[in-house]
Amino acid sequence: MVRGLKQELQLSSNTDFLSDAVALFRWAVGERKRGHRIFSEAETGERKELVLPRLERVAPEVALPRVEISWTRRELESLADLASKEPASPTETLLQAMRG
Amino acid sequence: MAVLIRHLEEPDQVELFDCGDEPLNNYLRRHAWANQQKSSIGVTYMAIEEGAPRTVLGYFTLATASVPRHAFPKKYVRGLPPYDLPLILLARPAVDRRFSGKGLGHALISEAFKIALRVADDVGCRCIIADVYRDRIDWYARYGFVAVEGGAASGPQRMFLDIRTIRMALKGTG
Repeated sequence: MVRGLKQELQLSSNTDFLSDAVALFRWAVGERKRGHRIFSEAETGERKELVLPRLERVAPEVALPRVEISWTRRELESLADLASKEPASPTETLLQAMRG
Repeated sequence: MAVLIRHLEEPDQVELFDCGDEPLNNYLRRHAWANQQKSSIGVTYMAIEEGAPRTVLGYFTLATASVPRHAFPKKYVRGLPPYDLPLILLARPAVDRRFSGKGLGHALISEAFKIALRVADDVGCRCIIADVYRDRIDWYARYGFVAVEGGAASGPQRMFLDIRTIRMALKGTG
């Protein structure tokens, strides 16, 4: 398998192969440590997420505490109205935010 | 400038942070760590530069909440799922004045959206709620936040963003 990969990548030395492999793994570990998820994206926009159990060990858990919020009656009416509607399409700025 | 966003940690240099808004400065300096570690009433995420990893460039705080179904006026619950409405509270992102105008606010809120999606995937969440200074309403509206009507005429404006809209944005669909 290693020989096949080396040929595909046109790498002749094991040192270069190992160096690239470590760099890639190091990047992946750094991304998961920050809580970022790793995807590949096809031209059609279809995404596949890389989930590697070893990488998941370094990912931070997202656990948010719970608070109470006070609402007026009118705010609750408005919230119910907003939450029961079909979701709005994302704005261009939101699309940019999620692309980054 | 390579910026990272991570949890607030105790050794972080919060005393020098100055976003020009004393309540927000004071929250970070006096309350954010205690609220995160002791009271567990909010997790603070901060932007740092790789070269100066203890200097706070900006921050935001997140917490979860829910509205009990019985709290909604009866005639308004018809379109809602038959459960309490789970939500994420986004406290105002703040950027140190020395680093304003560099897109840090955008980076902070982008990260908040991504965390909100992870929370929604893990435990469920219908929307993000933010209490917004009135002069910042347009900035939030650019991301799709809409006003929740019926609050006080002065003071912060409560705003709403549907988590499904954020999910659509992640998929790149409009």
